[in-house]
Formats: sequence, C-alpha cells, structure tokens
Amino acid sequence: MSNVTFLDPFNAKAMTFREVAATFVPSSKFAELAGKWNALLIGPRGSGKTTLMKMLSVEALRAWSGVEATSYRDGVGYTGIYVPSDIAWGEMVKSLSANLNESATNFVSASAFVTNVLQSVVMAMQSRLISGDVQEERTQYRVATCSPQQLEFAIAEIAELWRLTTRSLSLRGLANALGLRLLDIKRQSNLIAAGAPLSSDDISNRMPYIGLPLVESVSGAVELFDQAIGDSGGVWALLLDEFEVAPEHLQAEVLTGLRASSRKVLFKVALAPCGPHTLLDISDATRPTRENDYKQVELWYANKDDAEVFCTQLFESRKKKWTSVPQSSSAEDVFGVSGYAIVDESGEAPSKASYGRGELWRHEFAQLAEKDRSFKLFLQEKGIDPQALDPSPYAPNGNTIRKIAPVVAFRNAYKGKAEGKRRGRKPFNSAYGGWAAICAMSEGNPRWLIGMINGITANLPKDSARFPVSVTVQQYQLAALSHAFAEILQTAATGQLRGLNTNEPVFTTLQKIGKYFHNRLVLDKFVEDPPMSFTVDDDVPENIENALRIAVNHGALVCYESPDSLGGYSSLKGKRFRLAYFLAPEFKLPLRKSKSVSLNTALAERELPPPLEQMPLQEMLPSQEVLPWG
Amino acid sequence: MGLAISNLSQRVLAVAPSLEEVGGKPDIAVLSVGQGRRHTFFSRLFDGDANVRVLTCQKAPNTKLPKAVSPISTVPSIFDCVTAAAREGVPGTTNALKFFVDVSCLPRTTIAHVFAAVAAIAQARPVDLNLAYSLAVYAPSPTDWASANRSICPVHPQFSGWTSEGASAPLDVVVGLGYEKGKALGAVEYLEPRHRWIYVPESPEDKYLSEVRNHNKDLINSNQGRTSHYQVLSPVDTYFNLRSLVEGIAREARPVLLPFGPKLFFAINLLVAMTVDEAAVWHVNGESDDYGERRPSRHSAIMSCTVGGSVLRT
Repeated sequence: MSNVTFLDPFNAKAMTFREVAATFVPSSKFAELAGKWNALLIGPRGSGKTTLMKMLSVEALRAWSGVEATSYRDGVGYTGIYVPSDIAWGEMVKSLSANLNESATNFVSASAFVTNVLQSVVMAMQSRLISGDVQEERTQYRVATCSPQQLEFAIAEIAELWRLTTRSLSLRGLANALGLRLLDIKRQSNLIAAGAPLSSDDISNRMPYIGLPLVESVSGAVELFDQAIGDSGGVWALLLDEFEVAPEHLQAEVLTGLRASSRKVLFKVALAPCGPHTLLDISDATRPTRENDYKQVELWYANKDDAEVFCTQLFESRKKKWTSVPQSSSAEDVFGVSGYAIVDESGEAPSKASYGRGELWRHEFAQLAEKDRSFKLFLQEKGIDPQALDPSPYAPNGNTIRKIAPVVAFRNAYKGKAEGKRRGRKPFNSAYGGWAAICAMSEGNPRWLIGMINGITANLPKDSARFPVSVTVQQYQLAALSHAFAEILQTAATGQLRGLNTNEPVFTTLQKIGKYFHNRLVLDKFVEDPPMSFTVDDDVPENIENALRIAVNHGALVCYESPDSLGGYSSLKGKRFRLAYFLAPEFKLPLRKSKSVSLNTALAERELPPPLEQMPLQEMLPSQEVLPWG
Repeated sequence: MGLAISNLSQRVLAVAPSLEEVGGKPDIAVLSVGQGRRHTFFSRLFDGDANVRVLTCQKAPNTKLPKAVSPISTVPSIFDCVTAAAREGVPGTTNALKFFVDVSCLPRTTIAHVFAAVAAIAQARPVDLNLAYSLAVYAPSPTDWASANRSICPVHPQFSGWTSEGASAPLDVVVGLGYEKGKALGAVEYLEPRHRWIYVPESPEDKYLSEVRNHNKDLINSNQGRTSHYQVLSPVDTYFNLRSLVEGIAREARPVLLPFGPKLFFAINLLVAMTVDEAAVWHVNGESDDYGERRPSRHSAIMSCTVGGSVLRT
C-alpha cells in the first residue's frame, strides 16, 4: 500500500490564485466572509482560511469559473488585497529584534510587517490595471484604466506618503523600492544590534520610514490610486492571512481599528481560534463589537449535516483529480454507506445503513448480551430482543437500536468475557468506513478530507477497482491518517505562542481524555449514552488549559460553543469540547457526540482500567477480510 | 551575511587522527567537554599545548571536568567568548585565523553560536575553518527525544534568513533526516511548505540508515522525486550539493533548512546559510539530542574551508 500522507494534499499557501480558484467550492462560510463588511475568519490549521482569503483577491475572482462565480464577482464590492503571512515569516521578523531593546523591537518588527502589507497593496493595484489573457467577461472583473500621467502623479504621491525613493514612477518602481526597504530593515537591525543602544530618534534617523502607520498608509495610498483611475468611491479590503504571527501591537492596532475603520478600507482577518490575540488587553471603550463592527466567521461545523453538504461539494469539484474514481459516481457510490449511525445530539440516529446491517447487528447484540450482564439488563428493561432486532424508524425501539448500535459494536469488540476486562483482539475500525463517516471525520476541514480521499483512492487499481471501496481499504487508510495526525500532535510545538506556553505535552493530555472515554465505553456499566465530551473546569491549571488551546488550534479538539472573545476563545473554562473525530481510530472511539464529564474527571487516574493496547498499524487489518488485490 | 566559502577539502579517516590530519595546530579550538570518549577523540590532540586557545563548551555547569579547563557553560556567552578570543588572543588582524571546531558532541545551539561568531570574525579577516566529526557507533534512537516545552524556530538570529519579497515568496524546506521518530514530520507539517526536499544520511553505520528510513517513511515515500542521499563522511560533496539546491530554491522561494541527524550535516547547513542570505536554519528548540556519551566508531571526517568576507558567492 502506498503511504500517502497528510503532507500531500491541498496547501493553499503554496498555490497561485488561479490554482486555488480552479477547484474552489464556495461554502456558506464564504458567503459570510465575502460581504462588504469587516470580518474575522477563525479556524484551526487546514480548515481553509487561506483558500477563502485568497478567493477574495481580484486575481482569484477573475480566474474562478464556477457556477456561483458571477454572483460573487457582482456582489463583492471591493478590491481584495491578499496579505500573505506564515510562521516562517513571523520568525524572520522576530529574529530582526534579537539584541534590540523593546522600543526598537516594536519599531523594527512593525516596519517589516507594514512593508510586507504595502507590497501586497502594490500587487493589488497592479491586478486592477492588468486584464486577464482570455477575453471573457470574468477576466475583465475590476479592470481599471488611467492615463500614464495620472498614474505617475498618484505613484509620486504614494511614494512620498510611504517615504520611498523610487527609480521610476511606476507600480513596478514602488514594488522594487519596497523590496529594497525590506533589505534595509534587515541591514539596519543588524547594525543597531551590533552597536551601542540607540534612542528612538537615532533609529528614526537611520530608518526614516520607521513608524509608518499601517492603516493610514494603506488607506491614503488606495485613495490616491482610486483618484487616478476615476473611482473615488472605491472600497478596498485588507485580507490579512494568519495574522496571529504579526507583532502583538500590530494585532491590537488592527483589531481595535475594526471599531472605527473607514469605509475606504475594510479588514478581513484570519486567525487561529486560540491565538495570542485572544489574550490582548483591549479595553471595553475601544473593543469592537460583533455584528456592529465586524462579523465573525467560524470555520468548523457544529452540525454534521452542514459539513456533509460541504464535503460532497468538495468531492464533486475535485473528482477529476482522483483518476481511479468513476467520474459519474457519487461520493456514496465510491465510499459506500456508513455501517453505523453517526449520532449527533438530536437524539435521532439516522442511517441509511440500518436496514442492511440487521444480521450483523443481531450477532453483535446477542454476543454482547452473553458476556455483558449490564447490557443484558438494559435490553430487558427496554424490551429489546437481540434475536428480533428491528431498527426501522417505525419500530418502537428502532431509534434506540440505531443509536446504540455503534456503542454495542465497540463494546462487543473490546470487552473481554470477564467483568472489567478487555478482550485481547485486534482493533475495531469498521465504524470508520463509508461516506458519512469520512465526512464526520473530516470535520469539514478540506485538508483532512482531501488527505483521506487521496489516501484511499491512491491504492485503488486504475482499471479494475470495485466500488464502493472495500471497508478494509478505507479503514486501513483512515486509521493510518489518524495515526499520522496523532504523531504530528506528539511533536506539536508547546513553546511557540506568545503567552500560551505550556509544559504539558499536548498529545499526552488528549491521550488521557481519549483513554477515559474508551474505558467508559467498554469497561463501565452499559449505558445508552456514554460520555464522549468534556467541560473544562474553572480550576483548570494554566498548563493544561494552554495545552488544550494548542490542540484547538490544530483542530484536535472541537468546541461546542462559539468563541467568547474578539476572534477566538479568551478562556476555555466552562466550555464543552469533544475530541476531533479524526482521532477516533487512534483512541478507539465511535463517531459520536454525547454526554459531558468534567475535564478533571477525565484526566484523573482511574483505578481499574488496564492501559490501552498499543497496536502496531499493520495489525489493524481485520483477519476475516481479504484485500481485493495482491 | 553574504560570505564566501573557498578552499574546500575533506579527509576521511578510519584510524585515530593525527594533528596533521586535522589541519595542524589551530589558533582557536572549540571543543565539547564530557566523560565519553567521543569528546576526547580530537581534543587530546591539543592537550597541554599553550599555543592553542581552547574553548570548551559544557552542556551543564555541574559536569565533572576531566582536567582543569574553564568551560563556557551558557550558550549566549559563546559568541562573545569566541569573538573575544579572536580579537585578543590571536596576533595579527588581517592574517587568516586558524579555527578548529569538533562538532561531534556540541549541542546544535552551541554550534550555531560558534558559527555566528565565525561569520562575524570573517567579515574582518578570513577564517581557515577545520570542522571535525567523529561518527558514533550505532545505538537505538531515543523514544523521549522531545522535551515538554519546545518550539520550532531559527537556531540563531543570524541564521533566520531574509528576503526582499517578504512573505509573498513561497516556502520550501530542506530536511536532513535524523532517526528520531516523528521529529522531522512534525517540524515539516508545522511549516506547511510548498516543497519538501529530503536528505537521507548514509554512513558506515548502516543500522542507522535503516532506522532513519523506518522512522521517516512517510516523508520519504511522499517525496520520492525530491529525496536524495548523502554520505555523512563526505562533507564537501554534501556542501556543494546542498548549496546548489538552496541557491536554486532561493531564486523563487524562501529556503528553510531543517538539518536533523548528524551534527556535521548541521554544520554544513550553517555554512550554506552563510553564503545564501535567503536561507534560514531551523531546529527544534528544547530537543534532547545529546548523544555525546555514545562510543566513537573508528570513522571520522575533517572538512576544511576558508570563510571570507566577500559578497561574491564562490
């Protein structure tokens, strides 16, 4: 089997606007983000923030040929300025400040960041003046014209505003001068660090562009540009990607600026849900308010049905890239129907699979009833006869049967014959196959979904693959990807985020929680609804809370509540979480929202449970199933 | 930095080294101090020689020393100690400074500080650098290589890279694999690069290679077209190969080098970053990679070069 990893799928950061647009699927989240308002886009790694931000740029909107593209081009009433950023850039900027005092640090790092933003402004202006190479209506989107004299005049004014010396009065000249400025910032910071401490005035003399304000520099420049192209009422939007790596004081400036932002420049800011910005000390007087000053778009799906709609659209948009998949097939044709219901909190357990699984379920119900007294009692209380199971919606206990079926299957798979003991058998993974399960495990995260489908389809024979894909193949790949995600969490940086450091290994914390839920599912008295979520206690140690924050930023934990603060969660206390379904195979858990326990309870050592089996990946293939190829 | 590296040569030894084989008597020698034989594999060559300014770097201040030396025990002071030694202790201001570094057992942060100092010295006068590396006998990889509190970041501000394009240029990582399970994968995933270029170490200790492969199979398998092997004991060949790649990357992307694995490869990455301004060298801060107490094998390598202040890339 090939080892297609997490690393292979979609990484919008490295893609051109045209490449991003080629497979773009607009979700409801995109509509929430795209309007003519300030917006904070919150999501964990891989959740698609960069894709959405890039899609609001002129280049991407021009390249997009999807069915809804025209309405978005008509509706987006501003010029998007995509400002890239990433961890490496954040560290480069941070390194500038080594050996500088605090005020010099703020000046130097802000000036590097502002220069990066201004470079993006110039690129956006260039995109307005260049039309696409295909003479279609979409390629003329937001194309502007102006005379060379008007443009030169505007550029001369912009250069003065930005304190630039340009060799030519062209946008290229501005871009080159900004590139030279970045090199000068590096050179000057090295010189300052090597010499005697300097005052702010001394630094300003060496670097006259220092202290250039971000917002005014952008709004002033686009105003001049709009005058040149004859569009004085034009609106622009700064699309600030991965803004949590920006210097803290710039984050505060932009976030508080949402309150009093001009109509000329809007802000769309992408942030991690638990980034350092959630700890910024912003007074009530300057704190912008949700809906009045900005909209907040959260890139996760509380409702699994919404996620499934998005996943199905994404599958269809990228289907031609999966060459072994028949192009006329639906996702459910390819991956089949999930064997077990994915239970959400509504209490209902819809599953198209229910009726076809009757024989298997009867076997599992009967087998568990034989070795598990508490389950036998439960069946008696409910009046359910395992030999005559009827999971149909019309049967008196149909919903209960469908709802507990995955619990029964897990418990039967892992429970030993003696009370309180587990069975030494291979892991039970068949709960993870089928399209609904794949959608649930992806959490609507495009990178995860594409990674899972890549992994499964990469191993199919090109011309002779049978569909739906064998559950064995699906579970092997999904378990492998879940394990790869667990490995990445094991190496997660814990000392990286300002003010959010922890000595508590992130994965170890998650592992304790997962183990608790698994043991409740398998060892304790049978209940219809064993706990699968936790609520963070008020007395949670800071170390643990910060480890959980890092897990949330990685998408390893999903919060049931909306963020409580400007662009994220300022505190996790009192909030309810579950482990991401993507980790379910790793922790041997069903895909299930369920009752909550306190975090302290989940993390406390239990007396009885033996350790989870550490099963090598190659042993995860069930012995009774045979791969369809050699 | 824009430094020039020239006059490169290498010597591969299968016996205990002689003073001549390590490039003769240096002006300054930077050594590690510890109990194991790997620490003294090269340092014994300078025992009792008053003409060699020996700077010993100690991992922990309480380490029992084998002889009366005054080790540098805090990483930040290494830069100052090395530059001061060059300034004060060595006659002449324009002649080439003869510098010897045994990187075998030095922590990565220490090596980075030493190289940052060499780069600073080289701006004023050339440095004839001899890098020594004693290959350890294979021992299984540690399972607890990661400390609880760690970050993934540039190993030193001087090696953080820079570009006139800001964050607009894509990011490519060049990863030297080590044998710690999950370390390289975690670091690469963290950076979300456009391309991943993989360097797999080969050495006479062949069990090491099989463990490297086993512990990095996802990275290797998913980057078949961008994976190459290098000989740990052929540092000059590796230097040219790596520099060529990094210069190519720098034309269109920001190169971030993640040199896990042998310390000699790590040092070569620093040399490359001295010549390519855009390149950054990163590490996992807080990692435990102190394998200094491992037995030395009979194999070692010496790499010699001159580091000069020219901005020309030679």
